[in-house]
Amino acid sequence: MNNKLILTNLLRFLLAMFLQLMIFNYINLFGYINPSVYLFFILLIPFETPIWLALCLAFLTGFTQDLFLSTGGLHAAASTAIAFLRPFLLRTIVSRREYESGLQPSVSDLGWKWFLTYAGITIFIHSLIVFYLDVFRFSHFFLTFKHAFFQAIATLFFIALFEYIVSIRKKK
Amino acid sequence: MRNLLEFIKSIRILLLFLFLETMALLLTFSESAFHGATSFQFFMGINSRIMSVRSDVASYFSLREENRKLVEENIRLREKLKDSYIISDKRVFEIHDTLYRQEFVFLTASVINYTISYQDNYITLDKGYEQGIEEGMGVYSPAGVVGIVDHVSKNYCLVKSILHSEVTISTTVKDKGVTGTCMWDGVNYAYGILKDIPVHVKLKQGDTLLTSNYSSIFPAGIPVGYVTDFSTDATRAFYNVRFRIAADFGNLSSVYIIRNLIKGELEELEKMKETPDE
Repeated sequence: MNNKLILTNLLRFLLAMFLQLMIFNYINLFGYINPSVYLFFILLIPFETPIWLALCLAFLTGFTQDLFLSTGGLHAAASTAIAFLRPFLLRTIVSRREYESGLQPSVSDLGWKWFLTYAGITIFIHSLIVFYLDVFRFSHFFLTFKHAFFQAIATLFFIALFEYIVSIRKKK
Repeated sequence: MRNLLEFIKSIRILLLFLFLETMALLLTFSESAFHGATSFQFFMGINSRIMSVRSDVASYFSLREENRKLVEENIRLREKLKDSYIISDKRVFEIHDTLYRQEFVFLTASVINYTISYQDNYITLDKGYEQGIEEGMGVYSPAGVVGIVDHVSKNYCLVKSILHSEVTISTTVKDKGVTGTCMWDGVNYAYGILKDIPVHVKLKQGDTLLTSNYSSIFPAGIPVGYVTDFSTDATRAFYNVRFRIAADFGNLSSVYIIRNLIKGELEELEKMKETPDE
């Protein structure tokens, strides 16, 4: 059981990074929207994962993205932060089911409303960190906010799309 | 002592978080920590190899566009050929031309990876020190200036694009004889900012901005951009010019790298003014 879980997550990591590095890093809507779809790996880390492991995994995922984009530690910083905030977030968002072991933080297990709240908040925090860290020495506060907001929307859209495709397949 | 250990154990997650976060911020804000690391060369080798496979596939999709850009550049160059001029002064006729010697040589390279959505954007090219690339060489695409080589590994190099907060290019306004500094304000990848153009110059929309001959990195006359609008700055002595960047950063695939053959000599000469002989 545990081995299967590790394998699924490993495959999910590879798929997330493949899509991000080969396709989504080349999507530059309006020149600044660059959807961070690799987040779906971090979002879907199982509940029973120890927090220290989740932190390390998030750091590694973000850092892989940074290596390919030459952005230093921008994505690593944002990803680690959302992995750290995740337990608090999970405690805050009410779910109609208990977070029990074996349950996945996904649409098929917890429903659309729960997933969109959870993913939306996480992605938005991630975008804010990425954009504000990047423009650290600039003063365009509202412009940066706008950029982060639309980036988050685009990311959420693609991740919801993946979830939709996965949930359809599971029903069959 | 035991209490201390208990305490540390209870906040171990926080400590791990702070440790990872500090590392990430260090990598973000100190460029030397990221690019200077010995492991960087190793990673660059791996990810460049992966990305070059991708760009090989992707480049087929932009062949038509790439071809159009090359034809346009050919036209621009053809117009400069001696054959395109007629001799207006029949009395002076020059046959042997030994006044010129070659200053710049050009190498081609393929773009294998680039970003445009950050404040400091980089481009990875598939040429490295094995092919004679050195730090500080200029890079331009058929349409215009692209950036300056920043780091070199064996077979790849990393270019600071002009969409980088630290890159400035010495630029002249075509036919106006004034030189300014062009930079990027980090807002939109398609537009740059030109500074230090005095207000007495009559600028107009659509004026062409070219590299100046003060730079030892770029030969004079490579397009940088086209003026879109301008206003006087706070001192009222200079313009703040916004221009459309000539290079198409939405679609970069082939570029030229420029080697300056006499740069070493120039630098040696200019060093003399800093350390005068005793």
